[in-house]
Amino acid sequence: MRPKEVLLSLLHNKVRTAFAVLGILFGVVSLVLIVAAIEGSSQEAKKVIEKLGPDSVLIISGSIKKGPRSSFQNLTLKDVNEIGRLEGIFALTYGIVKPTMISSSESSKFSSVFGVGKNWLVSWNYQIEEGRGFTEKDFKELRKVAVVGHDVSDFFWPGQSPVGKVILVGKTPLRVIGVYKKKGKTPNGHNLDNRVFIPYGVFDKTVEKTYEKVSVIRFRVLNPKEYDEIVKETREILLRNHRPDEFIVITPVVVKKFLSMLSATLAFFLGIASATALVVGGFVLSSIFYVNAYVREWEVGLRKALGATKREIVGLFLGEALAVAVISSLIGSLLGAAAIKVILPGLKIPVVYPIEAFIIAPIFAVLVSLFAVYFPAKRASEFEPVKALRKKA
Amino acid sequence: MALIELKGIKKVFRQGELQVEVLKGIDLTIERGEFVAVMGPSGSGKSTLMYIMGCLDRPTEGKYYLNGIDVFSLKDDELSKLRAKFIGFVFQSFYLIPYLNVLDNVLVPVDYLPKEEKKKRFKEKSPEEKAKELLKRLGMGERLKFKPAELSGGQKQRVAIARALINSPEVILADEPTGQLDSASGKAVMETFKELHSEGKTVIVVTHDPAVASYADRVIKIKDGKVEE
Repeated sequence: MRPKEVLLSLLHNKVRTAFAVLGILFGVVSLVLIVAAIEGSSQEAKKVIEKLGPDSVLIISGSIKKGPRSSFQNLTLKDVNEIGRLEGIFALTYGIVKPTMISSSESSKFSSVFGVGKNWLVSWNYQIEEGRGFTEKDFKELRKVAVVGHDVSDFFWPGQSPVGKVILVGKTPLRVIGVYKKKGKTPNGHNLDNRVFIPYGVFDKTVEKTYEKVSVIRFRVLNPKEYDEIVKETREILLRNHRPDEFIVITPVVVKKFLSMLSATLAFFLGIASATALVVGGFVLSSIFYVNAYVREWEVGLRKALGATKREIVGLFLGEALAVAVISSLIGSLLGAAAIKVILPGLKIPVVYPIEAFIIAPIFAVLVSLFAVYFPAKRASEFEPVKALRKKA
Repeated sequence: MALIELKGIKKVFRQGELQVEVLKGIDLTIERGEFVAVMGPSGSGKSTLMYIMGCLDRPTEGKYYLNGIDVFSLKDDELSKLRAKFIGFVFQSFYLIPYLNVLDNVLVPVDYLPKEEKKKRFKEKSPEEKAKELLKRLGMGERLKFKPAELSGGQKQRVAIARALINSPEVILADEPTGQLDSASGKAVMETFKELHSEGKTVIVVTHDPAVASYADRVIKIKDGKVEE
């Protein structure tokens, strides 16, 4: 059977071909989508870990069961000081946060006000775009200064530099000393640019009495080999001071575990969807080709009379199945690429077009098609020529 | 060695409890280059005999030697290749594949020739060249790209004859080749067979029509499953 004959046969019965192609198409689209979704979310996971820093340790108030609760501040400055005495760590910082009304002479808005320790801006990678960050003196002398995000500065002073301007946090006037570069949103939708940072001591005096509580402690480890040992020592310190359900120690390993659990769940559900689509597609193709075989019984009889072997008859139908798979793969890959662009942002997964998706999906489409059509093809190859020839009206 | 040699061919069809003996022991020899008509009324078993001679059906009993080969000792796929090499079929209802044009229909049997045979038989001319030549000779040279649905009955049968000839078979086996044609087209088809015979081809025509049989040199009459030559 020449390739030309295969195409002519498919073209001859356009409706049959269209249904066969549709059957496989959905499977291809969903497979392309699932591979892209897995790839996208694993890239996202890598990004999150990079952001966190592979050498960093983050401790937050709360418990794994109840979830992190920044409003329940269980951690204290005592923890910070004890952790600070560990050897082999650097960039230790801590903070406390409260959503607070901030205002200028004309307007006001809610913003997350953070009382922070030294190193906070550097440690969390807030880059100063204008003005300056905090100095030793700001902390020591409890200077009433603030570093703000773009949403804050654009709200109060659109088109103007906020440096040197005064905002009221509660009733206390604070001088803006710097603005940090835009950071956008966290994967959960928290706005990172609607924040006001002030020294921890100032927070205690102006926003809320802290009673030496903090909600977040973060530090980094100098030597990766000591990482596990330092995490263990940190836990020991915290367990001396708290119940186990009062804090969560977050390491890149934990984050990775959590994210890969998420993407495994995603892969599982999408996998079931696309496997179902392909299996259903396979059944559709199989039944279309069963009907096809019986409609063309006389043609099979004729080809056998002209010298075709059983294998050549099987090849005739498998050739058509392969063509259907190739057509479905081409259209399905294009639709899959479109689906990636439309659907992934809705799932908060970055849009990626991994080459594997466009290889795996067609391979599966070809395998499913060949497998599905093999049985009707085998059946057709066993038609007896004399009986088959009598089937023509 | 005779081209076709049938010995004691019997064919019994079973329909539930009922057994119908369609061929009741046929002995027949056809030499190379003969033009034979197998004649008989409908139900006489002539079509069954044609299918057996064409290696499309197996007898219940008996032996068949085609060019000295014991046909029914072969497996189904070997029979297929034997048909591709030795036999060109012309059927009453043409059996042209609707999605292929005239030229492609004629070329279908070429794909089923064993590779070495293909090389041998198309040494001088490519299959396409030979198909075009055959179609031209049969008056279809202007309609190579036509689909079967665009042809008259007589034209369809001429395409079918070209298809039967493309692999240069030893025998042309025609089953009621004029059955669906008007008398003028039927006459033209039979003239073609006569011409092929004069070129040395072995032609076997199965028919119930004495006018068709009159073109043959030898008429074999089948009645009640037996030969009455």
